[in-house]
Formats: sequence, structure tokens, C-alpha cells
Amino acid sequence: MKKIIDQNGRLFGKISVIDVLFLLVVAAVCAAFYVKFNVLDVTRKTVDTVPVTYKITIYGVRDYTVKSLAVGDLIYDKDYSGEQPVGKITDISVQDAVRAVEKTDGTIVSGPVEGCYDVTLTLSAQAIRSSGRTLVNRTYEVNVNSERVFNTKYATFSATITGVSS
Amino acid sequence: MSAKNEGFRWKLNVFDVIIMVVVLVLAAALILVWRNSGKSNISVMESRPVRYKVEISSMLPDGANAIKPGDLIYDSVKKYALGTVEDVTLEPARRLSKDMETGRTIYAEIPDRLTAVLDVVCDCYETESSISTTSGYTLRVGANVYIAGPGYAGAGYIVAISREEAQP
Repeated sequence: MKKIIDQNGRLFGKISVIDVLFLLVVAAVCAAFYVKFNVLDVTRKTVDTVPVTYKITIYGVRDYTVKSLAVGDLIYDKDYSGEQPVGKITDISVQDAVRAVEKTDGTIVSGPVEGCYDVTLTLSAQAIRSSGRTLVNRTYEVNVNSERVFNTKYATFSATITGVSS
Repeated sequence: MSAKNEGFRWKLNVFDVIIMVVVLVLAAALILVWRNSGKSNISVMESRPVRYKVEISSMLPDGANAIKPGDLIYDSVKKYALGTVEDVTLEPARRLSKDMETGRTIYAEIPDRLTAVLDVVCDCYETESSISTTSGYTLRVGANVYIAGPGYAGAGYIVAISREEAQP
């Protein structure tokens, strides 16, 4: 009976085991390159972003914050977006601020705040929308009622996300 | 024995060729990486003077009156240089106070305290997303700032940053 590996380390006396292993390694590397540049690329392109608009409201700020904002400014989330903007200001709406105050008779009223404003910014961005979730830049989730710290190039402020629309 | 002592004869096979190609490709890649390792696509940033305003609230009068144009100020927490005072405006200190009779929230003056608004100029680096002093302090309106100058200190906010474009 013929040995599978002969005394010279050849399979069935024809090809070296080392050569077979080398061919397997080369084949694995080629397969990895193919998967990286073909299969994974196709997967990435299947999820497309769409334009979305959402609103954030800054409550009770002074006029200097209002003056520091401008249509066209890019918005960044201080904690989560890094150098990637999470939107661009397309509209700025300013209203006199109000604050809940407990009066001496025990009632709580929403009273005006002198020299302060509530500012609503409308932002545009590219996002994935899936199952009711909105992911700006594919990763930054926008949730109504969430309070976050935002930056522009010129200003920093805390704001609440107050609306999302497509 | 005699066969082993015969002259060396190198027979090139297909696996030798594959190994040589792989080694050559790796060598070429390493050379490319090393040659480009010292280079960068980031251009050297140029600084420009940026004017901004800082409001320091509720200062003792002696401290507020000590602020003078020409003072060099710095961040009293991490000692960043913040620039030179160009002008200073003093006004009575105020803070928001609730009127529980009417439900309004109003500004009320604080006795024996002053608010100082400093016009400051500082060389800054500018990127698409931020303006930072050359010492590394990021300027943004609304940011809390702790300032110290010659003989005084205080806490307040940056209340304005000029949007003028860099000079060509």
C-alpha cells in the first residue's frame, strides 16, 4: 500500500506538504481581500442616508447666545460627535423666555424672564431612518426630549431636541 | 557522497517564484510607507488675532477697578494665556430674581458688586469647528471661564467672539 506522505514529505509522492500549506495561505489571503473589497462593500451600499430636519430648543439664554448663532453654522454634539457635525442651521426662531414660578399664593405660573430668550434652531442633516429611529451620520441617534450639549464654531449651549421630521 | 559534492544547481520552481513576488511586494510597500512617514497633508496653521468679550460678574469693586487695558490675562485653572485686555466696561452687577407676587423673573441689582466686560484680543488658531488661542484654550460664546489678571480674578462667560475673516 502506498503511503499518504512519503519519506520526503510529499503527498502521495507528488507534492510537498509545505507547498500545499503555502498554497492554502495564499488562497486564504486572496479570499480575505475579495471579501473586504467586494462583499463588504456591497453590504455597506445597501443602507442609504436620507435628508432629515430636526429642531433643538435652547431655553432661557441671554441675547449674547442668540447673537452668536447664524444660519449656515454647523452644529456639533460636544460629547458624542467629535469633529463630525450633526447638522447645519437652516432657521433660527427666537421667543421671549418663560419660567415656572411659584407665587406667594401657592400657585405655579409660567412667567416671563427679563432679558432671556428661548431659541429654536432648525437643523438639516443626512440620516438613516429605520423602525422609527433616526441616526444622523449613521450613528448619532436623535431622540425627541433628549437634552444635550451642542457646540458651533462660535458658541456652546445646552439644548433639548424638540422635533424630528423627514 | 559524490552526488552531494556536485556543483550547486538551483532549480527554480513555481513556489520559489510566488515567494519572491510576495517578498518584493512587501518590500515595495515598506519602502513606500517609510518614504511617506515624515510627510503630512495637514498644512501649518497660521494664527490671527481674534477679538472677544468676557463678562465677569459680581466682582468686588476693588478687583473690578484694577482691570486695565494692556493687562495680560490667563485662565486661572490651567494657566492658558487668554490674551490682552483692550478695553473694560464696568456696570452694576445683576442677577435674575423671581417676583413671587407677579410670577415674573427680573434682573435685580446686587449691592456693592460690579460686572466687568472685558474686550480682549488674542492670537488664535481657527479650524472649521473651533477657535483656539495659541496656548490651546478653546473660545466659545457661553463657555464658563475663570480669569486671572494682575492683582484680580473672577469667573464669568465669554459673551461675544468676532466673526471677521482672516486677513489674506
